[in-house]
Amino acid sequence: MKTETLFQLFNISKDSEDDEVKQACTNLIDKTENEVEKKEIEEKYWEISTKQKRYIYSLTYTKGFSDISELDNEIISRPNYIGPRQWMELLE
Amino acid sequence: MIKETNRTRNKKKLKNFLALSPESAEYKAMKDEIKIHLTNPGSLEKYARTSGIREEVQTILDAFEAITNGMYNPEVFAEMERIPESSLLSFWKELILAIRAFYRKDYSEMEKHLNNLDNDSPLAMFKPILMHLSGKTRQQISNSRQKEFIDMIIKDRSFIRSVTKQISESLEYDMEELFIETTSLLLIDLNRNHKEAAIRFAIWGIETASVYKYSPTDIVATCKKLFGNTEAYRLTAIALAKEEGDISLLFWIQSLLSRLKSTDISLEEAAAYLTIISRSAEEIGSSSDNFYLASLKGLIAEISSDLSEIFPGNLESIKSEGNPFEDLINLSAAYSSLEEDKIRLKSLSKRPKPITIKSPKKGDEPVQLSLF
Repeated sequence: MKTETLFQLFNISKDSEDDEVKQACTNLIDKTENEVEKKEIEEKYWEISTKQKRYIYSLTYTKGFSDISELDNEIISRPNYIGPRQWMELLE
Repeated sequence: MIKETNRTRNKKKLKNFLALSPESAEYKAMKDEIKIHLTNPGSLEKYARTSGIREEVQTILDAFEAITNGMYNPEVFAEMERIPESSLLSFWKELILAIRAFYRKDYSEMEKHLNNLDNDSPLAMFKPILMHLSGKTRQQISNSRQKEFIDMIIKDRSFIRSVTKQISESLEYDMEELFIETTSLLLIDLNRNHKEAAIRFAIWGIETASVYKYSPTDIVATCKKLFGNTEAYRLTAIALAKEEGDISLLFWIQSLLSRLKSTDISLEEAAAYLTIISRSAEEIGSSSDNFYLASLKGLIAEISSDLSEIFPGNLESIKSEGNPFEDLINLSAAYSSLEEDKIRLKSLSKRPKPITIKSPKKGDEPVQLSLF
């Protein structure tokens, strides 16, 4: 799972109040129709349900590359934004 | 000069075209040609007679600016969806959608929009470029301007490729110094533009050094300079968790100690650290290395003192058990709100004593402690 995905999924931060996180989970479940996905969301919620758990998550989520070749993929998959002028200039 | 003449001629052609009635046969005859060769939507706006075209141009320009700058602007994209296929700007719409799909890494969607571009349109020049950038094709780009353009979008790539090759070779030929030096240099370079990649690379570097029995001291020192002590110790703890769990534990404690020095730590954050530390302590259980045990006890005394200063009250029930691993589990249970930490503490009383002594591993020498 990518960095901070759980926080992004629930649209919360590690310092969000516990009841806000619960509400965010309820809203997400309400929007989801698929029963399997609902269960997955609930499981993910338990991982970050209290502030202490959210801190554990944020302290341990970081993973190193399993192989150095992953670095190349990571850089390629994050292309720079260079603005409209550079794109237009190529057309001239 | 010839280029200028062509430009003037095209402008004139566009101006004449937009002066025609959209219902006229001449307009219909010229429309496809104008649409295919439209290289600057802004030129349409200048001569457009109807507000409809001007609005479409503005939407396209806004969407183009947003997508090439990485700006979040869902409204403009919703507006662009309304531009029909028959519009003079529909190829520009396709290009913008292709660029958006490229940045989202949805390459099949990108290819779909690129295929909607007319091959005779100047915009079609972006087809091989985006296909190359996305890795969908390995076809070489020979045009120097296009090459420069590609480099701007993925700058650092060739440098990173050559350095990673060097790092792989240093491992292949067991060249410790070269590995440590190159890894540290690449780390500094990555941290300038690719913070997240730098962090993941730092963990990989420290873990790999540990696997190859190299000293990661210099990489950790670089991490301290780049990310600060708390973060450097945390990353090192993560990196060493698999290969050297006992040393990893020391780094978790050092990270917490460094965090406690800043005094703005919340009880929840301290408790989270202690949960992680107690999980690790439970896993390790014991050590026969007296130097290690003495260091661990010293660190525990330091944590206890800092914790009781910042959060007075929680430590009243803590008594040293003599075994520092058990002391850490005790500490965690005192600060944690999690049931798992209390259960961990309870299970300690059921643990048979004396605890089995683990045989020391190669590479566990006290020299590792100099990393701090």
